[in-house]
Amino acid sequence: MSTVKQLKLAPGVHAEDVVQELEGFTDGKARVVVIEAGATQDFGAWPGELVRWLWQDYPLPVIFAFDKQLIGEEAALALGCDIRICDEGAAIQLNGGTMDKLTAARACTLLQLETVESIPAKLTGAQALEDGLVSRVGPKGSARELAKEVAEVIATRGPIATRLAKEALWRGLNQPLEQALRFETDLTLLLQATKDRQEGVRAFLEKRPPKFIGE
Amino acid sequence: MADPVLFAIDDRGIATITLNRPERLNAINMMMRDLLWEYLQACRDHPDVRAVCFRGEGRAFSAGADISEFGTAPSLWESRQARHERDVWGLMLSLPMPLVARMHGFCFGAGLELPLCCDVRIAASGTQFALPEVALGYIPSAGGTQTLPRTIPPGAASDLILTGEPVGTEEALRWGLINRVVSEKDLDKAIEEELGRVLEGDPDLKKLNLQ
Repeated sequence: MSTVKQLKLAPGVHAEDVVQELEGFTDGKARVVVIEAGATQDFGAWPGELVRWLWQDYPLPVIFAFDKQLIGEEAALALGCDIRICDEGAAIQLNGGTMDKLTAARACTLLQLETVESIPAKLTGAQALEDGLVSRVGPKGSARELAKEVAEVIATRGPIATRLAKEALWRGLNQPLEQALRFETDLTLLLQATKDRQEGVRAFLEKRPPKFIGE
Repeated sequence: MADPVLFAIDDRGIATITLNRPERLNAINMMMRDLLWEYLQACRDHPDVRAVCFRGEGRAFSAGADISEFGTAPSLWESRQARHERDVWGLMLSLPMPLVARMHGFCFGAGLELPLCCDVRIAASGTQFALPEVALGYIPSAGGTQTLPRTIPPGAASDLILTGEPVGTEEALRWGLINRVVSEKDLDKAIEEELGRVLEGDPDLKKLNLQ
């Protein structure tokens, strides 16, 4: 069974369906999720609570792939994901004025902005890459494949490590640096007690690919 | 055996800390951590030190932590205690003078996390940067999960941390992971220029202030 879960936002899909699907992936087998854009206007609300749930509480790394202009609630969903990947024709319309507080705060964090007023109304793929809002831009029509490739890479990594790395990153960012560094240390020590960490080190020293079991 | 970390202070007040284990691509072991701790304390306490420059001997700045020493701590508790008592990275972040990293070859794992505690990072073209820890079943543990997303856009940081894949100087420069790229033959000259700015008290050179 594939450890990469893919979720295509088909026209007519509703936000509640997405939440349900995502929750279904947390059964222990999946290691990473790719969400592909494609929702239409009847998608429904993706409020700040869900944005925060995705980056702060959802355990799996989530990649959002898009090759079109991302607007409204679909853009809000993308902001909650850990990694965004698009093609060169894509754009993202953020419209800080209509975002709720939590979504706007997330946009500010990702764009390293001090104020909501500084959020640009629209970013092309190239601008989004320059600003780090997306981390990879591929040729036209390639976002889905590119996202899948990245997901396959993450799926080979230690699954507990990627969960804790995600937690360290996003939860640590809200803490003062000194406290955040201690948080990282504690998560590191938690990992030291896992079989996966022992396997990772052993595999490296034996020059072979690791076989992580998620324990 | 040569000392795995070299330390010198010149008559201008520039302290140079050199990772000197080139046969292991300057993989940072416990002895090196102890020496770094000692030399960083010397930088903090020596009244004449005005800047610190970090460099790596051989073909890489540093390939990261020495994995062959992993799992040798007597217990998790003692490991935690040792990290807190000898917090090399916290000490680097608290030093009052500017820190400059001369980067080349590979800057992987702790070999990237150390420069992330510096104020200025200058790299030779062709340098590769990565936090590959998740590929070995652990996470960056020299501050990288916290310093990287405070240095480059967090969305880009999450890609680097979750995939463990390396990036080159183009991406590194785009996102502010490094301040400047020069050819390897011009690297020492660029570092000297930067240190010159420090000595002249260039007001544009801000001390790193990660929050």
